[in-house]
Amino acid sequence: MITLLESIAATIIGGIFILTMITSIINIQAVGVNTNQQILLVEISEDVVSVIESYLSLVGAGVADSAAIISTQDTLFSYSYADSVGGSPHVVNMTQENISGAKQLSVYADGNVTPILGPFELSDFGIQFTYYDVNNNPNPADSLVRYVKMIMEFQYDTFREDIDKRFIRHRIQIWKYFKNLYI
Amino acid sequence: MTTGQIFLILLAMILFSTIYLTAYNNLFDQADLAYKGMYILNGQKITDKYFQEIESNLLGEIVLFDSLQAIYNGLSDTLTVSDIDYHINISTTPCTKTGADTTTVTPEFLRIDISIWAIPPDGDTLWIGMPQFPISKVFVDLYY
Repeated sequence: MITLLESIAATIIGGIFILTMITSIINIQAVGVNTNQQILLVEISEDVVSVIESYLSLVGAGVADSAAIISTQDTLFSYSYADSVGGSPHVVNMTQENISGAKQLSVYADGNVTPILGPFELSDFGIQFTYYDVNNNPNPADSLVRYVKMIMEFQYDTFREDIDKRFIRHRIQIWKYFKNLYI
Repeated sequence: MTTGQIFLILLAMILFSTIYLTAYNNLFDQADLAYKGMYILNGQKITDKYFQEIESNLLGEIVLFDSLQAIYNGLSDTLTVSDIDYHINISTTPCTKTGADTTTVTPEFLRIDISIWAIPPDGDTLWIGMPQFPISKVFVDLYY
């Protein structure tokens, strides 16, 4: 009888130990995958922001200051620039769209329906533009805008949906001064 | 089960737990490094904001080069990014091509040093450009 009880107890303890091992292995894998996804998202989103900054550097180039800024909204920024002084202006729209129920960041040029950049998946936060004049006052008239604060939060799904289910997110906040409008 | 066998099992459990703890520790170190990198990137963007501000104001002659020291030397500011406060300290040093030059009244070059500190959720102070080793940029007086 004692041997039987010992065997049952050993089986239970062994079972608990094996379950703990398996759970730990799965957790380690989930945490590792999420960390890798986070690093990947940071790398990709920083690359995207670098390209966005290069587009924003063109604001007002080659066009009159009064024609540089076309529209300033919370989730849409529209501006123009020309390849040369007096050349035909390009119109760029940087906007947040809802595609299949998810917020996306896209950049369009010259009225084309195909974006020149994006779409990139954003979180529920999406993007938020805040515009400032030369004296750091927010939300001035379009003709007085001299720099923009852009906040965007990129999102990436986890690799395993059954364990540690959460979205990987990376919020980036940049400021871009439109130097062409200062010259 | 003999006492020896029980001790062997206990020893195996202790050894196995050590391996798990080490693996977890390494993983959380890696995650900590990834998140700290994000905070550092935010801090670098803040320094870039100030450098852009100075460049733009100089280009537009909104601020004169000789006024930069009065405006920015000793300036402290706080900006909140992603619910974390970044405390910014700016100092200026007149310089020439050979280094700092505090004797010239109207210097041709001015070095702007920025150091930022923040306290991320883990509670440790994170420096982005320390006072001894700040993030620096040299500006030139275009009309010297």
